[in-house]
Amino acid sequence: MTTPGDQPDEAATQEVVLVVNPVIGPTVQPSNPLGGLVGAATGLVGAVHSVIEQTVIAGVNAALDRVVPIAVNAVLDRMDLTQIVLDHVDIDALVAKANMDAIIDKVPIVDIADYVIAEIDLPKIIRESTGGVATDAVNAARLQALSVDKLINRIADSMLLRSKGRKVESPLKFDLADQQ
Amino acid sequence: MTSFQEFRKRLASGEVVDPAAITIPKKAQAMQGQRSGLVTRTMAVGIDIAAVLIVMLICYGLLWLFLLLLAPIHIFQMPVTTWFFVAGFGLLWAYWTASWALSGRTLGNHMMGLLVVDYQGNRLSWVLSAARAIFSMVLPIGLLWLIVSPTNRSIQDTVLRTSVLHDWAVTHNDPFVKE
Repeated sequence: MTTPGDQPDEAATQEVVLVVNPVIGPTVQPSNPLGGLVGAATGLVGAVHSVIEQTVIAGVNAALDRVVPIAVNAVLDRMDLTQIVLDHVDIDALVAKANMDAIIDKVPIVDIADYVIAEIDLPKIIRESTGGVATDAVNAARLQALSVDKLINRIADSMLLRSKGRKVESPLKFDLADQQ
Repeated sequence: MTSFQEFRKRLASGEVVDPAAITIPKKAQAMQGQRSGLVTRTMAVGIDIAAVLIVMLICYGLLWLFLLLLAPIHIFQMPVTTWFFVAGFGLLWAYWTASWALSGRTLGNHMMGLLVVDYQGNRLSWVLSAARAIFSMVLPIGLLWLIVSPTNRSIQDTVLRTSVLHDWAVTHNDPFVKE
């Protein structure tokens, strides 16, 4: 510290701050001829591997991509795979182990149900079943009328000496089996 | 529970009967498609006439109620016989014509399991249906020809070449569509 009138000391009045950043550089290895040789060899092997990978292996893969499908197709063409599966695979056991729930989840059950209902005409069956009692009564009346018709026809035919009976077949090709 | 496979086997062997076949009694199955006789057809006509009569009475009753609203002192009177018959004939003619041309069955035909077809077994045309209806009303006694006809045909059927067939399974599809 200086007071006024004192001669300032040059060395004392100047402060120098040095900031030193450590420089990270290649560690200088102690010179070792064997290590250098090994390093060079490793580099050479890496380069050769890279060349092989880029040229030979890629070429082989490309060739296999083209040849293998043709070869496999040629082999499969000469084999009956379906028969082989039938001979060697127990399909029942396979199906028994299959997860049917997952399969059923994928099946459009409602669509199939709609299809079946449409095919069997379920509304018609319901109508028939609900009108069952009425149908019985109507059928009874019809059967009575039918039997009286037959009686009248028989009497009339015998009076008219008509031995062959009547031709009552329909002009329509009316086959009951066709209608059901 | 019967599996689907078992059901198909039973259906193929005839063990399971198609539900539609149950609707027709066995006694009548052989008669399906044959021309019907006098009693069946007379009953069908009777049902039709009764239906038309009921409709006319209801209409007349409604008309009377309407007139009562207009004039409360209106006294109920029985319809004039002539007009009642004319209206009845008109209604029956229209009803038979439309029924035979559209479906081949009237209500009476439906109840008795009958189907009216032309000479080829097809549905009656409107003209033929109208002609048959008017012919049946003008000459109802022509139905009696059924007794002596060798083919179970009335006079109307013989002239117009129509047939009235037994077709009891009224719930199955339109019989005219199948060909």
